[in-house]
Amino acid sequence: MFSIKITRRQFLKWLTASAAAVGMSQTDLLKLQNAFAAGPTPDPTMPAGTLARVIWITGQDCGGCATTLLNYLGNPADEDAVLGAVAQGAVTPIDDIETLYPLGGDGHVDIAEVVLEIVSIEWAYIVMAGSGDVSNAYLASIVEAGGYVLMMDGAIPINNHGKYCKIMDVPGDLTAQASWPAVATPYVNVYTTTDTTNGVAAGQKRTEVTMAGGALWLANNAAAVVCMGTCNSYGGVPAAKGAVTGAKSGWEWINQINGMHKTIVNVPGCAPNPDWFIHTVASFILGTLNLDQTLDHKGRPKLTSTAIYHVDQTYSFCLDCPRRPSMPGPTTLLAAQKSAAHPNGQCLFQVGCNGKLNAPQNNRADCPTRKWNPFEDHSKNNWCVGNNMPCQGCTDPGFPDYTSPFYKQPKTSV
Amino acid sequence: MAKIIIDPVNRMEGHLGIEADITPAESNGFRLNPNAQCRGNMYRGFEQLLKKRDPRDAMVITQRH
Repeated sequence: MFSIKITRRQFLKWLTASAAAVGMSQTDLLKLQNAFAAGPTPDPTMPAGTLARVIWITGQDCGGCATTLLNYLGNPADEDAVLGAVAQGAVTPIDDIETLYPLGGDGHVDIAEVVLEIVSIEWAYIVMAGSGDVSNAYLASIVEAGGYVLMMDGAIPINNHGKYCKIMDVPGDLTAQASWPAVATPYVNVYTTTDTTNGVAAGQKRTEVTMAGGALWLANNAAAVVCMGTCNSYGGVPAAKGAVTGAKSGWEWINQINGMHKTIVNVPGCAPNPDWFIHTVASFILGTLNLDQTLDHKGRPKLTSTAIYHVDQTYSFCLDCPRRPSMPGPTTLLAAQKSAAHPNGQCLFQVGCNGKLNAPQNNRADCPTRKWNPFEDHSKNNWCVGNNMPCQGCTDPGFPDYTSPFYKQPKTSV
Repeated sequence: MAKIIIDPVNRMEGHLGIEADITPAESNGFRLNPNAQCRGNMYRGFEQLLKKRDPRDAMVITQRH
């Protein structure tokens, strides 16, 4: 007989890696078993007020935003005040996993800790344990109370009444809810069932919710809206030239077109670095997200010179790039790659790097210093340019049309 | 006849919905009818937005598919 020696902690990490982070809250591994998808009414044992509730809906996405977030691994050496506090476990409103199960504790804070100790993700189809009516009815039941953070990824198509993206089919007539915004009504389809459906007799009202309608419905009662990824921040790929679906960003659709005046934070990037998102949510929970002072002119968190976006508008991440000394570099990708003579590689400007965009399109993400795909030894992390890929300018509103063609010298001067 | 609607289906990327007709059966509780359907609920039009672009851009843009 073989037995697999695995600690509960390792099992937890494995679950997280297989995108089951929220599902774990239903198990008795942790004390959050009823926090999510508990049924048609919110569970009174849910520690309301200690965990920030996050509702995460998805429009025209590719799954990259969800994947990058599940890849989060905090760096305790992070100089940023908020991220450092998260990575050191200082933001722990309820039981700390590492205290509960010290056997497998590794001292690192990853996405499991974040979704179990810092936020409670109430609805996110890509990771939740329930599907269909169970989770949808739960979602509909918690919207009235408000106070949650609405998180969106993927663009919002509005042509043809939003039917290019339908996100859920909910039992009941949502338009009868007290918090239902009238502007969302054209973007949902309320119909009456003709057969027994999901165990409820015929004649039941059901609502088909599109992304356009769902974004307005959930934003109406939200404490804040986080637009995750370039698609929901600025339109991104689904809104590029030639697209037919009328894709809009969260800000365009909620505030500009429908005049809701919601608090909106953009976390652009295709996909965004998980640190950027964790920082935004943690700042919101800690109350340090002063929107007037901490958002730049594109709605992004700007923070300090060592954190996510640089305050100085003349900064571009080109200044921190290890390949900068050889600017403008060779004219082919092969010649620019890492070699004995150039251990960091040579500048990719002439083969399409958008690291230096002209103001106001300055590329101010901190990719060269923060890097991506975290290892527990953070010195192994890499980033696009470190892997011979010219920067595509993916955190910029101009992505992809302004910054393409991607493999030609960009429309800017050195 | 009765119906089951599951929309969205969880833990997969891409807005999948299932709609299936079921009829009662003597032994097994219920059985599925042949007209169970699944539907993809999202469309972006990658084919249209790849038109008139540098062919090499396709490998950057279709990564996002």
